[in-house]
Amino acid sequence: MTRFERAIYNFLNARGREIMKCLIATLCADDPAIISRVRIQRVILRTEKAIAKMPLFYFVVLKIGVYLLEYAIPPLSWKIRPFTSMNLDQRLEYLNTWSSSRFYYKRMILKLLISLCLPRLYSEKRLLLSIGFERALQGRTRKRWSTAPL
Amino acid sequence: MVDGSTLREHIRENFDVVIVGSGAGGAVVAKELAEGGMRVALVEEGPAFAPQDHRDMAVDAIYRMYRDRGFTTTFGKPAIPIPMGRVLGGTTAINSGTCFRTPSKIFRHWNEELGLHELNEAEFQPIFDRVEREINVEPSDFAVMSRANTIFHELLQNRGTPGKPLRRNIRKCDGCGYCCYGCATGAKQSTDVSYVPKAIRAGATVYTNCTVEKFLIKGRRVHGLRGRFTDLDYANTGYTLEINAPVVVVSGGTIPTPQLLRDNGIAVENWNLGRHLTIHPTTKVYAEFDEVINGWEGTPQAYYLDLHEKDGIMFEGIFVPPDVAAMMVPFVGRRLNEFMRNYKHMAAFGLLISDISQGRVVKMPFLGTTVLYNLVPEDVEKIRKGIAFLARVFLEGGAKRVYTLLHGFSEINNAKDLERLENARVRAEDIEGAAFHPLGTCRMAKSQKHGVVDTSHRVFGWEGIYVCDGSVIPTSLGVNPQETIMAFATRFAGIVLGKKITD
Ligand SMILES: Cc1cc2nc3c(=O)[nH]c(=O)nc-3n(C[C@H](O)[C@H](O)[C@H](O)COP(=O)(O)OP(=O)(O)OC[C@H]3O[C@@H](n4cnc5c(N)ncnc54)[C@H](O)[C@@H]3O)c2cc1C
Ligand code: SF4
Repeated sequence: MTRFERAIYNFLNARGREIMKCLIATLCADDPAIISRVRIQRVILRTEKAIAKMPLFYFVVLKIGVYLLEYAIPPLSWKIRPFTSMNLDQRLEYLNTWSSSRFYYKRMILKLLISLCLPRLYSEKRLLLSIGFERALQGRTRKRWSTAPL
Repeated sequence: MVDGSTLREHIRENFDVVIVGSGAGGAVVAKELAEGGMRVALVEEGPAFAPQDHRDMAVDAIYRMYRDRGFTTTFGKPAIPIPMGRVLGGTTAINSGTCFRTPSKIFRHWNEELGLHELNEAEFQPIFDRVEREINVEPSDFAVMSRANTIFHELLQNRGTPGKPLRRNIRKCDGCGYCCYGCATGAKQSTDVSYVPKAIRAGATVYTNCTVEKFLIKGRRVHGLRGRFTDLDYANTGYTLEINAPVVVVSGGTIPTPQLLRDNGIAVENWNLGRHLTIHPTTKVYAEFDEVINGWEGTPQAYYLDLHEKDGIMFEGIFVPPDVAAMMVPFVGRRLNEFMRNYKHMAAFGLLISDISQGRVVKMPFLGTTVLYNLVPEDVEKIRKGIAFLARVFLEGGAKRVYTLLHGFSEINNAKDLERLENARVRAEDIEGAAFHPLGTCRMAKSQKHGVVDTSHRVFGWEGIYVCDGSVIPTSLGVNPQETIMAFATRFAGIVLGKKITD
């Protein structure tokens, strides 16, 4: 990789990370009860790690998908602001238009993004314990965890 | 057992038989042939794990043990995830452990309509007996079933149409609920804990972390193979394996096998190669109750209701841990949070259909091995009917609300919603689900015109190369296929040894 390519790659990564972070926060509606129980940076890192190890096709689709979500252009979307600069209600409404769209591929892109980041969010131990996933977790990790219910 | 990820030398060996893949097909062939006195090599692309290695969350286990980190899907309408194992034990190491014998109706179809008289139901019974003894098939115990299963059982009983406990390949299952993510107690008798150890005891050599890519070919005879060793990140270690053997058995699974043959120029002239793919599309329905269910505790797939004969639909228990469930929730934002917060109150039940839709395995530039599959309207209708049935059972049984993965019907709250679903016209792309049983891409047939292998599993027009995995199963089964595949493999081993193997 040339220095120029690396610079672009890193830039896209940093930008992509911002968008992912915003997406994860929106998916859980910025709920403090959730956010406080997860290490969001770790969730993003694990999501990125998973993306990096994916088959090439999905890797490319996901990279493009992240930017499509951010800067969607007609006919994918008629909004005029980037996703990351919307307020929470706007972001939620925007994601709802994607998830309820009759345009199949639009739903699929969101589904693909969700299927990468939500499993990482919901494998954060304190969040799992707070939704009652306790015995099964301890059996698997052989560790003792505790936290207050969500 | 030779672990290719740590090996630092090239290997060149001679065997009587070499088998590619250690799943339901390959491991059974390896054990039966090794016990029959042959020198057997079993080559597996994935790593080997001991039960105590399975100590991670479901999502991490998927990453560790599933092909392409769990990202294998069909292309078409809808796109359907089609997970497969890439680990010693193949997909049996990550399956739910449900066992069915091939239904009589299917045998009749094979005999009468496809002319496959060699697949005789009566002759298969002692083979099934043998397979069931090897993997210890027994009925699921209500005491360790997930509450998501027993609640459905109670609802069906109240309606006067009870289902039955599923038969599973287990020994002392404690109901930890992680069957599809590696069984940490070793209770599930997947081939890595049942057949493979017996094959090794009988003298077979097992190579793990070795991807077979090339067959050694002279004319139209295959006489061995070449593979490359990989590390746990799928990267080459730089070392290779070369095995010479007069009998080469391909058991890579329904999706990889036709591609491996095609890449080597084998059977490429055969129109059937990679075609006739059936997958048993599945989906599930969640139902929220007042009681705490903790559906993740207990065996997730332990109970069923068979409407296969009548409607082509089979209902089977299913429940996934929250990290896996989160990716399939049909909501975002506050409703997603609410769903996950209430996940402990959810029951779920799944359905699979006997599909008449057929797909293909092809190689595409940039995508590599690709599965093309579109659901035909008849199958879409079966799925809609199945979802509506489950929703009705749950709602009438006292569920507060029902959630489906059908676009436009994510939430069913009352009789009116249900009626709307029951009268709906659904498009294929509105369905979200998965498929766990790919079959048929090198199907067995009487002639080259209709299939890829003959009734002794030999690739038509070729010598020395045989296929023995889900890809040879001639049609969709309507039931979970591992026992059928194992029975085919046992029968095939008998053909190679020149004697019938029975119990
Ligand atoms: C989540 C899940 C749950 C399931 N539950 C059930 C169930 O409850 N009951 C049931 O009957 N069935 C179930 N199934 C399906 C069942 O497990 C499979 O149908 C069966 O294991 C297929 O057997 P196979 O031999 O065709 O392939 P596999 O079992 O997939 O084995 C193929 C093996 O070959 C290896 N391989 C492929 N290519 C190469 C290569 N080039 N070089 C070396 N090795 C290679 C693969 O890594 C793999 O290990 C389930 C499947 C899934 C995904
Ligand atoms: S539920 Fe039983 S078979 Fe499944 S992983 Fe747990 S112990 Fe193993």
